[in-house]
Amino acid sequence: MKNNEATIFVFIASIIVGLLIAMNIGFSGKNNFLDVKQYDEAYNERIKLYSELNSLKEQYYNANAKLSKYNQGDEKASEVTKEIKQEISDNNILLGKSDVEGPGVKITLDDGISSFDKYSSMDQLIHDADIVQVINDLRNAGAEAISVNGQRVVYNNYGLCAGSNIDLNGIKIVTPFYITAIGNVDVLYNYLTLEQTHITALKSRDVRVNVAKQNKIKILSYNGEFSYKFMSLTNK
Amino acid sequence: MVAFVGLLIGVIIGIVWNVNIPVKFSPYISVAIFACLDSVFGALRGSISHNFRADIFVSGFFGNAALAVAMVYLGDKLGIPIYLAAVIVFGGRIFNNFAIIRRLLIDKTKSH
Repeated sequence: MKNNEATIFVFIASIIVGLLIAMNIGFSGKNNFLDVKQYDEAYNERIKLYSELNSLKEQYYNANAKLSKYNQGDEKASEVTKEIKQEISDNNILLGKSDVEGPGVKITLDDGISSFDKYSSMDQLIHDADIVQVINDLRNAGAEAISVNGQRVVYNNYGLCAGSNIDLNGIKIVTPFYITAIGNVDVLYNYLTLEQTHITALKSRDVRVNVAKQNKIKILSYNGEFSYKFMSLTNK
Repeated sequence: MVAFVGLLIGVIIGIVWNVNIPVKFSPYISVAIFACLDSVFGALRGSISHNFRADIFVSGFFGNAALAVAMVYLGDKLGIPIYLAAVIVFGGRIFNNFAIIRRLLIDKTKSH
């Protein structure tokens, strides 16, 4: 009798287990389980998505806070003005219309002392293209503000060889050239001493090059005008 | 023998019903299956050695499964794989029970 009872219980229990197994495996062919590598990838993906989600939430929160500030009407008008002024000042800093200061590097470029060989002396001079390329290098290294001999370099600057001097954005500058840039000092300095940069190329041409780290550099604002004639805002 | 027939019937019913558990619960059910399997082996051993008790079997069957599921849930929340503990314990016990069942069955056939 007792044995019989056990058989019945075991029978029922095995049916339940079999049912669970069948339900869980799902013979419809799809595999619910991941191997270790897939699990790892999925796990990393999840972390990435979560962090993305967090940053998006933060953005949403900031934008929402801004919006609610604007929506609060007249009594907050001064707040709005302050906000707008802050934005204008930020934009001016980015455009180069404000005097700025910060840590950075100072590059001194000077024509090489002419030696006995006449053919190499052309190489020893600094040309307009050199200045442009050095500026390009600095931008590549993440410089936030650049000036050449006190002239702020902005987005539409050009360099032109004008004989003994260089025409930078309409202003004539002569040697020695002092190029200053604000940015992460170590990044700028290390980038400029890399093999591929123009500074290294200049050094090999016997040009007198000096790169110095500086804790505090002041760069004056761009005093020209920003104007446009041909472009206009596209209709959205 | 009974256990295999039961398993087979259960699997067939499961296939006929074609109910799929959501992927989310999949690890829980896996560990629960293991716990249930352990109970079934225990019951088989009990029935062979004539000391089977229904109340202990039923409480163990559901209690072990519930505890295992709770462990998986807790491990998931804490970030440590506690379910490994359940898997190792139940796995070890299944082998243990199987070894005893084997011995008992062989002794039985020899004594005949």
